[in-house]
Amino acid sequence: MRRLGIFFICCTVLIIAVALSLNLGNFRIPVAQVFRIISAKLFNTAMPEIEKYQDVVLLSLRLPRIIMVLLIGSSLGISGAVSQGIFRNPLVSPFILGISSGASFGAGVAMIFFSGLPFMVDLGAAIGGFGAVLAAFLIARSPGGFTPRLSLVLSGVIVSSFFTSMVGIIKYLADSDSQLPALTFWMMGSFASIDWASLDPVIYIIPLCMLPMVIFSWYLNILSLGDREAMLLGMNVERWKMFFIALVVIAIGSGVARCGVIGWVGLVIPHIARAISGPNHRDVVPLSAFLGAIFLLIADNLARSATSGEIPVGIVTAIIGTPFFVYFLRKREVALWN
Amino acid sequence: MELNRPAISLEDLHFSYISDQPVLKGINLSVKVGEKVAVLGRNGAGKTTLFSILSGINHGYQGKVTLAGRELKQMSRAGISQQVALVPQKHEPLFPYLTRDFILMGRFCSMGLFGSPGSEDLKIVEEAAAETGAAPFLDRPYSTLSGGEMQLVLIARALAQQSEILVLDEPNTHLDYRNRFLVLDLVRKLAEARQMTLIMSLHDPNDVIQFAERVVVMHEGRIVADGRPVEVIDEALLAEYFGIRAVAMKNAAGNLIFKAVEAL
Repeated sequence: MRRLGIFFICCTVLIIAVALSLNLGNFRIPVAQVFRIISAKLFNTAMPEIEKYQDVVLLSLRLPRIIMVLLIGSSLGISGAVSQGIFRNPLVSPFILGISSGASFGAGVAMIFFSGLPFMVDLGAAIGGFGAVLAAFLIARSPGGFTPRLSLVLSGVIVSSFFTSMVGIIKYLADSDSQLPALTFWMMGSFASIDWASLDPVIYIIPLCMLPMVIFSWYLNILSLGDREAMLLGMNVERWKMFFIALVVIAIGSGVARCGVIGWVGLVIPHIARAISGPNHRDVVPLSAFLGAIFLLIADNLARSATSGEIPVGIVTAIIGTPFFVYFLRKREVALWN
Repeated sequence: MELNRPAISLEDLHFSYISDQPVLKGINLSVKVGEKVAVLGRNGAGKTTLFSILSGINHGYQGKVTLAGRELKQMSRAGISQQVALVPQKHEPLFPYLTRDFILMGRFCSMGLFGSPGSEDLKIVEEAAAETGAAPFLDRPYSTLSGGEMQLVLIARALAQQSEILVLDEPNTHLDYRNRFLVLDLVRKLAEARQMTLIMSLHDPNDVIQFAERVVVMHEGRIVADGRPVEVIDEALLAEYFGIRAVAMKNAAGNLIFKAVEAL
């Protein structure tokens, strides 16, 4: 019953947040008008009286952007919950294996050496991100074919710091008038240039990765007990660890490649989810997807309407994420973790 | 159930973590279904290693391990857990799972690929909790329980695996005087009620005499004595393998007990 109640509240909040997001912006569209335009489009009826490009702003700019925000936000939240379960560590985010710094390096290389070619930044970020994770794996893997979790965290940290310094070299080489600002903004994450075309293929990849995370969420309870205990209970630990890590890396990697690095969501959201639903991963995993989507939607709304310009969304998530996190830590210090 | 069938059979079992430093040096052991066996030995004698092999965690051993007539190396991970439930010495939880959810994890080995626990599994959890006395704290987080209560929950989780063999690694080491008795008494009664084969490592020879019907004494990776506790354990054995001078006496009820008096 409680589970159903939380689900209902999440859906309601999400719908309200989406409606408000369609209305908000430097170009405000009244909520009633939003509904009229969308229903006219959906049911192919005559468009209502439209002022100055309202339908273009709504349908071609805001709607695809909101869909992208929901996809990325939910994938960050759910991947954070899965990562913290796998690595048994409250400080773990989905970027733990070096995906963000690897992707930044790849994007930087693309911006400087292959600028002008279409989709090169996305491709470079994807190659860099997946390459970093692969490197972390190869470093951590023991000769017996087993990958201890602590070794993985450590090698992820090593790979991250290596690629962070490589990003430094790229920044040093970059042209300080055009390339450097572009890379810096990319690394802070943004949804500013999202249209319908850029949703493809993320709109397929992320739900396809999230679905198995939810289906097998109970397995994370067992995995979270540690390698030895999970084996005692009959789990093929190595296989399930790889399965979950692969889902996280593909979901996060495809999002990072398109929208850049957006921090904090994957770290903070699972803690908030646990405070609401308790530690059972059957509840935490789907709830983190909802909360991640809602949180990032709020952050993106602030990013695009708080000032006349546009603040990179990665900055907003950190600025509103930190006090939020501290508040929850202070309020439920025991229940949050252990 | 046929009681003379071997539940566990070990033939010439060798194991080493680091080459040239063998931990087990040729173990031969056969345990019948329903037997209650205590394994006695000093720290480092190889007891925990032996239990890890039995529960399928340590691979790479030499020799033959057979569980209920099937070779261990031919069995799946989940198949082993359906056969052997091991109660660890202690579990330090990271997430404050409810005790009910924690015991439910014992059902994992019986799930299909897309399986998640259903009402049948929840019933098994309730029964296991009732049998071990863990029922009153089913809805409390496992991490808030006392050491004795945690041990009862770990035993309940092992029961939820519905295995034939119950292995306990030093089940009462961390417990107070009352709980030490309570846990061993509970385990003995459970094994009798469910006709489970019981293997537990213990440190106190008096516990062995009181709760086991057979003792296997391990020393430096070998079995050095095997038999009925009152016949096997004596002052000479305790001096030779445990480095302790102990005196044997009879208590008021006429049972044999040992009192340690000097470290040799």
